[in-house]
Amino acid sequence: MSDVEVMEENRRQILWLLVIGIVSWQGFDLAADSLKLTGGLHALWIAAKTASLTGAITWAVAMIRMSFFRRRMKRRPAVAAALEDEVVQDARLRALVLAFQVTLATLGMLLAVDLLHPLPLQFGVRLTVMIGVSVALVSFLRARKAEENG
Amino acid sequence: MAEKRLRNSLREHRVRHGLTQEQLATLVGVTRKSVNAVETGRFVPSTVLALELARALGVPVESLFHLDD
Repeated sequence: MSDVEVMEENRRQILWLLVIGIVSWQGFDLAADSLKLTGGLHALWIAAKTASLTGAITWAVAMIRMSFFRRRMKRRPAVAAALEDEVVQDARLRALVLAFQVTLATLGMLLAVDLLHPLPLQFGVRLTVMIGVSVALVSFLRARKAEENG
Repeated sequence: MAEKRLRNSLREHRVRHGLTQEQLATLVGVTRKSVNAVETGRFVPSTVLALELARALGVPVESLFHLDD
């Protein structure tokens, strides 16, 4: 396996960790907040908060790994250039466009729901950020997976 | 104007040269998945990448890529 392949696999793992991290961190935290608002079971609230904390730690670990990854890339410009080739840039651009559209759709739905049932601002912002970030990451990862075997 | 599709014979030329996708990717400076994406027609390369692929394989670019009429 070449250096580029090894680093690409590294990047793939980091991005998946980021997806798992943000979805469980923000998703379980939103669930815990909802439980609190609706007066749900305290045991469930603790379980959701614990899962959220695990997600936050996963996110933090992935961010630390990403910073080490970037440092390694700086030392190897040829590998870094290959990992940012035009196919990768195209996949990233498509992922960002999709994430932008999904974010707008989420905002639209939240505003519609807010007309009938007022939602806390923080809930909407966190849900939108979580969906936007995870859609961008998953879309990029799926595009790269599709390019693996044709 | 009817949409034309870009076909390529990258795989045939690569195999003829005894190169793996990974080896060609290293020669051109891209990832193996990117070579695969071009070979399978999932991605239409830029002129620069098309010329680099042709140079790596030692063939004219028009023998690698052609329009489907």
